Amino acid sequence: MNSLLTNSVGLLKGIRIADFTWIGAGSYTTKMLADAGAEVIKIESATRPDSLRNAAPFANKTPGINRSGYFSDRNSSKKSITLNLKDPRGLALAKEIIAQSDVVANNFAAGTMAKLGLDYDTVKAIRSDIIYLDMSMQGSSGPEYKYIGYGLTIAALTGLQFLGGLPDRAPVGTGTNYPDHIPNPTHAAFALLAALRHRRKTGIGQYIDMAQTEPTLCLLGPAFLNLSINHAVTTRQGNDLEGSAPHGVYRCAGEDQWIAIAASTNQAWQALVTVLGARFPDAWEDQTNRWKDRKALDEALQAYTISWSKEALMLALQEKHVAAGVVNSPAEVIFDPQLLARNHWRRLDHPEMGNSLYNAPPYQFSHDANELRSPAPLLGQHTQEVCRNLLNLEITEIKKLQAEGVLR
Amino acid sequence: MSLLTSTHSSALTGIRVLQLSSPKTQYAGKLFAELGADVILVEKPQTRQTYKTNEGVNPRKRSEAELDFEYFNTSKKSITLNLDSAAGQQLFKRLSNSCQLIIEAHQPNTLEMKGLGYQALAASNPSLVMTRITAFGQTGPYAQFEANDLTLLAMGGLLSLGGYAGAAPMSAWGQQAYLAANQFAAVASMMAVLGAESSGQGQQVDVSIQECVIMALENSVQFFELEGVVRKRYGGEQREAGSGIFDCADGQVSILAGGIGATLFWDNFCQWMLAEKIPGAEQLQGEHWTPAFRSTQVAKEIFEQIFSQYASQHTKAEIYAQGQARRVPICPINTTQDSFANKQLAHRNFFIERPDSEGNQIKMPGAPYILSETPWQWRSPAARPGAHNQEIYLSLGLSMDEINTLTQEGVL
Repeated sequence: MNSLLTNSVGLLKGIRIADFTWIGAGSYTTKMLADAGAEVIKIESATRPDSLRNAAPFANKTPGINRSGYFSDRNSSKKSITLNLKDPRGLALAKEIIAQSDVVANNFAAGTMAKLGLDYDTVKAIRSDIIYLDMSMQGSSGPEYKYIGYGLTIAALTGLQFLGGLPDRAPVGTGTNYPDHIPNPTHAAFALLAALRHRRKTGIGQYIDMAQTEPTLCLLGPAFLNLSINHAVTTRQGNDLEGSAPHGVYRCAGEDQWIAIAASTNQAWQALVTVLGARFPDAWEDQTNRWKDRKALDEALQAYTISWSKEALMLALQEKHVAAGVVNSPAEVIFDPQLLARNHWRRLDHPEMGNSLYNAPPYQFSHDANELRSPAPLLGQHTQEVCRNLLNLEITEIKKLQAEGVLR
Repeated sequence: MSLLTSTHSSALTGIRVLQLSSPKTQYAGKLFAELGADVILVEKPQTRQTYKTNEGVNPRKRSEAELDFEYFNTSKKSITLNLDSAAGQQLFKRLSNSCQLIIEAHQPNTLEMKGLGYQALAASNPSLVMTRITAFGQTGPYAQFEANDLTLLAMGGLLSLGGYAGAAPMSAWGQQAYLAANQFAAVASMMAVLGAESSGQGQQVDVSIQECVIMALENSVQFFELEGVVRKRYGGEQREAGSGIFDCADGQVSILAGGIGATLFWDNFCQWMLAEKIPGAEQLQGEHWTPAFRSTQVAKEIFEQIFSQYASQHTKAEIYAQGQARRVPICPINTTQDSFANKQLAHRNFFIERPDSEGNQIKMPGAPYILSETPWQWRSPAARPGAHNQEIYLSLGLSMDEINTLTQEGVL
């Protein structure tokens, strides 16, 4: 079988994915596999590209199908081919790619792949050992399976939103489409990798149905046990951690500058008091009293932290082995000394966006590459390459298909 | 429900995992265990209090930490082992020779000082994968910093996006920094185990919790990089017209009427409000409702004024059904109780009822994914500390006498 990436390296070398994913969770799932060496062919069309391509921010603040920073970061190391799936010839080419792939992945609304003529049964007939991932919002059947949503509304539906924030104010969750970024892509990737192992052992592929609500619900397990065992509905608790004080986020010098401190043991508390040069009531020497008085304690602490720069206070507390961390803004993380030392931020030369910032994977292998192998693909950047190298089409044929609107 | 009775095969059969007990490793272990790996939780002797089971008569009220342990350690075996003793270190080496994967979360260099670092263990088991989950990774200027879930959410930037404008940044519920690392570590470990199974070459996998949190920053880093805009927290406010949390008759709903990128959902929302005959709904129509206009204060006020009239008269369940029927991305802000009553989750048999470690039948989340050939499987409640000492240590070749002596000496 041809490999598109002649210099293909990585743990998943040799695995090919026919990638119909888009927007958040789906694209991130296949990106992780692409960065680890899998050959991921993202199948889009000019009439229906990944809608994240049209989502801000854009390079030079200029909108464009190949200019979204949001899209780019989630699609490194992939190839993009455009196929008009409504044309039978376009559909046939998609099936030919699938026939040579190990995995088919999508996160469309339930039923969309069937409408395209690419549901699991059809695909299984093309390639009997295929591993097929559906990750619609709520699964492939049931009374509400056609309901739609994004990470934000999924966070609401699962309860993550309700649980974040202050008890007497509106629920805030994480302020992001959290399920899209971590729970859904990691669970989907884990399931795919497990299925790949099973196929390697037995030769048998399988169908994976992952609802984009369920991984997040799984993360909230202890809250469900609180209801099952303690008969209590878990509610928002701000930054409190049961029994721990101080445990919170405190204002520092400057505008909107904060530090997180967790110093609930007596030893950490003593160190904190020393560093701040503070005087507090004797009762707070006792951990139980600190928890009981945590509101007053937090205010008293903040009266001291507010005159410190957050970095200086973090370093002074770390010197005394107190868990303290600056609240980094999305701008500050780019310059965080630890992340720089870890080489977390990568700069790739994108054909249209130029030198662009990407996240490296948050894990490093001692013996294998896990690198961003290329920037996000332009829409259809690899159409010709895939047609020639994988589908064995002659140039004249490709030109003809292009002229007739099949490859767009 | 007896253990391991399924006739299905398991995807991860034959993988033995040593998971050194920690909130930083426990969910990774659970993910492996419930797809069929043999996961052995290694606990320090006498660190976890246990209680007499009372067979469901009158379940004891449990602390948050206990609930956490109970849930994240299902389907595993438990052994106790003191890694500070020479005998314990020897035993750990022998154990590591019998396994494919170790997942641990000690501060960098801690295990090296005990002679149990990757190099030492790989010398006798070259295909071993050793996944090390630490606050900042094995290297770098902050590698030895103290941290906990909250400080890592802070340093990973996610805290800055959560909470209310003007007030302190607010963490997500339930140790999401540790959970992020557990999840990425499971993926990376699985990749490395697949590699080791085909090449015979294992490796160390270095997972930084701070970097795992960074992955949740959405588009905010690129927003600064490309457009110079630092995203802030906006809890309780509309981010743009049609995006936010709104009060309804019995709680709140979350809506994203504008979608992400270019979509058609906005028109669906307009049609819905028009059909409900909400006064002023016609103001929502027109070409001028571009993403740019939707982010203006005027647009937000129009939206709020119209949608609140509708929402305040209906329950979150009604709004959810009506909105979804018109293909508007809207969902209720659910509590745990709401999820137990959710029809879609019931259809998928998502919640399962199984015994907890004290013998009470409890309801909890089940499969995060449905695999047709190798189904997810709950196998057993969280084990009592050391419940499998005999089984595991006998299989390593220790005699009952040796096990008893080591237990008395505090090694087991």
